[in-house]
Amino acid sequence: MSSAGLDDKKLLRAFLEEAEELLEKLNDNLLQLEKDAGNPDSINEVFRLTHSLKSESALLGFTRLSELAHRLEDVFDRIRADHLNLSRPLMDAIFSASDLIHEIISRISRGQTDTEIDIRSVIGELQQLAGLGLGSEAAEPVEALPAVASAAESGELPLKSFQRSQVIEALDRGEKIYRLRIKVAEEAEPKYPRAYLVFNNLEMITNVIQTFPNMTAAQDDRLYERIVVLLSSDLPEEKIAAACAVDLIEEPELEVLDKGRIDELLSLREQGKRSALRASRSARIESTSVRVDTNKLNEIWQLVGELTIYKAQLSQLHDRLSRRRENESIKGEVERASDSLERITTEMQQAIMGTRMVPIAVLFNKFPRLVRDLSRKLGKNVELEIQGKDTEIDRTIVEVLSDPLTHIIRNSLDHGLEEPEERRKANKPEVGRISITAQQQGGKIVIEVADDGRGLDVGKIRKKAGIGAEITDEEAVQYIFSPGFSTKEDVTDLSGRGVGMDVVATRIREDLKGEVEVRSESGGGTLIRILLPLTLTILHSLVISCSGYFYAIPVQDIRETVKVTEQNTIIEGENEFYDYEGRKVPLLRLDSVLLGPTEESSSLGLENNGVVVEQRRGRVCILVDELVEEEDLVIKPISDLLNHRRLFSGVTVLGDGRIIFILDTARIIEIIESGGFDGI
Amino acid sequence: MAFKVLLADDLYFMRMVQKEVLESKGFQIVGEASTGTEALAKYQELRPDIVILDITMPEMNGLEAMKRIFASDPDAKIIICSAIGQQSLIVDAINSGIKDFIVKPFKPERLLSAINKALTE
Repeated sequence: MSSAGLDDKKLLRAFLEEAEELLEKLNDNLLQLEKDAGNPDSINEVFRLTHSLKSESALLGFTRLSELAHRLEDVFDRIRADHLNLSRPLMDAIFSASDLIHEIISRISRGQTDTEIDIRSVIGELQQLAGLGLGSEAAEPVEALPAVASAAESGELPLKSFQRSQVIEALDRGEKIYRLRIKVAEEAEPKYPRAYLVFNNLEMITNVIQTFPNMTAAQDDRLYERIVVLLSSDLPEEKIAAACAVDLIEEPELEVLDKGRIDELLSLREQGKRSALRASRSARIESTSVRVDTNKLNEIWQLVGELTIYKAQLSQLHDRLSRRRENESIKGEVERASDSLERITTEMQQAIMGTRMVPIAVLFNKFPRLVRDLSRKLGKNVELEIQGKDTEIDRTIVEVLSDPLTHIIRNSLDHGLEEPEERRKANKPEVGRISITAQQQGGKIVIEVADDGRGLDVGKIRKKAGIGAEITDEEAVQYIFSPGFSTKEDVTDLSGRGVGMDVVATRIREDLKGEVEVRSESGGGTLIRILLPLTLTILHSLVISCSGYFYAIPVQDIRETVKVTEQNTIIEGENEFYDYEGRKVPLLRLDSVLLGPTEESSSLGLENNGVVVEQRRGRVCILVDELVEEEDLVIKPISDLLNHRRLFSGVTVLGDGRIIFILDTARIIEIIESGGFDGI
Repeated sequence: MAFKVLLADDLYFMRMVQKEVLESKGFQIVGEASTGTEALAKYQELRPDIVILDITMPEMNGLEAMKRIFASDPDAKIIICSAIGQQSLIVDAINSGIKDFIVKPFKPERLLSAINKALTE
């Protein structure tokens, strides 16, 4: 009966609103699963959706609906935990169940109840095909989908490129690859920290490559009932099994993967790429429903309240103005109200952005333990210093940053710091030092990992990368970040930290739009510096116009805006430079680069606007027609078709519908430094 | 030889329950503390085999006491026993090196089994 629910109109309305959104997501994810049956993100998402639907509808007394959602949840629980195949008939049954849920909800929204709906036949079919329910024989999957099926059967998830390289490195070191499955006891509440105990024990003695579900960022606690861990270690099985000797952890199953299984695992790479894409997409979806500090939300509500007041005030004033009375005195008031509106909108935007930010402590807090345990394992004495834990960083960045940063720290300990004996001989304190710091500098987050170890072996890097003497040592060490550097054969014997740094760099540069650089001193240590944007989606930019088009330059890249005249221009052959405080900065005529050479481009006007932008590789002065305004732009990705020279990092649409391309200044400077735009 | 246990909880009642359960199985309660400061001092004085530590305590909370105990003895065995089920706190404590955590109210078997597992490592 649902009368109890129907009495409360408000609750029902909220339920229906949410249900609609939920159904839409359910449908999207099911469609995704039909295309790609093993997709763990979609499986988890469907599980979560049906789980919420179950409890919400039960709360309102819609027992049939709740029952149906419950059964569907069971099916996905099995798919998730036991790697049940999503055969086509099962998929069909799932879709019928989802259609029925749809039907029930639309009945409810029309004010009807769910009692007269027959859900038994749909549930019966679902349970039979999923091998669930009383008396029904476990139905064997009728149709196996290749690759995905084998992945699901063995509990193998596609590896990300980073994890793939970890497997290869581990094999190079002569370690074995293990897969461990554990179950958290039913009575354990909450489950995630309990699973984390085991995870932490494992991290202490082995190299954890992958966990499912993800242990570094907690999701719905219910997901952590069963955990699959892929790890590498040179320890015997008993030692690893001992790490699972934690109360309320049941049925640990440990297996060593043989060569065939490992090859299979590595061959899932292509899929891994796709799943990484999906992961980033689902991370975005998640970020629309993240848990938010209530104080931050209150702040937003207050600002919205103020905003509506000023808005009302403005429209009243507008009315009075249009009646053409008291014009002069009102003008001032309109202006003040408009200013206030502007200020509050800005604050509101910052507050909303604040909800996306978390202190980097969520990431840094795991390092003391990692360092302590790893240093014991390696027999090295290490002192760890962490600074800037309160630095706030975009939540989505934290998730992606975890793996590369862990890798850097492991490398520091493993390859960077010397054995106590070697340190004594080198007259260094026996206790090595690693420091991890984070701070905000302007629009960027700077993270540094430094050690006082032996430093990189520049000679070996030069040899490996085939670098001549024309390149300085300082530049040569950057080659550890070049794509493919560490996958070359004999790289594991590199003393110092070369291993896997190319993968680290790719993640930071491509996935996080950041920068990474290394400084190293032979015998003195290594410093790795990572520069990250504050957030991936909002960019404070200067909008400029050029030949009637609008473009944006990220303010964080701008050194100064200047007036370019004939007097401060230096011409050398075909090249033009701006005389910037006595230094020659290449002048870039944006219009000729973007639109092709124009007739007037040969002569400069009396006074032109120039924007001096700066990147690690150098500077350039961009000539523009007009400096329009500074704005916070919400960046959208740009299609390759519109960006074949990759001169733009994204595109945005302004409130008035204008489309603006965001200049990729790093790329532009790179082109200029390496000889210009001809042939690009 | 009986294992030596230090109990730290601001509630006398809670320590009494723990004591009863543990003593019935032959553990020796070498000390009790009702504040974090006291827990730290007694740890250093008594060097117990294991500490059962509450989080919410006056003067110094359990997490701070835990950190200081680890600072003085990285091999300390600590089990957190608290009503606070907040995941981030527990995860922080695990990262610091606790052996297990127990969420109050707990069943006697749960306390025993956690303490046995932690001690047999």
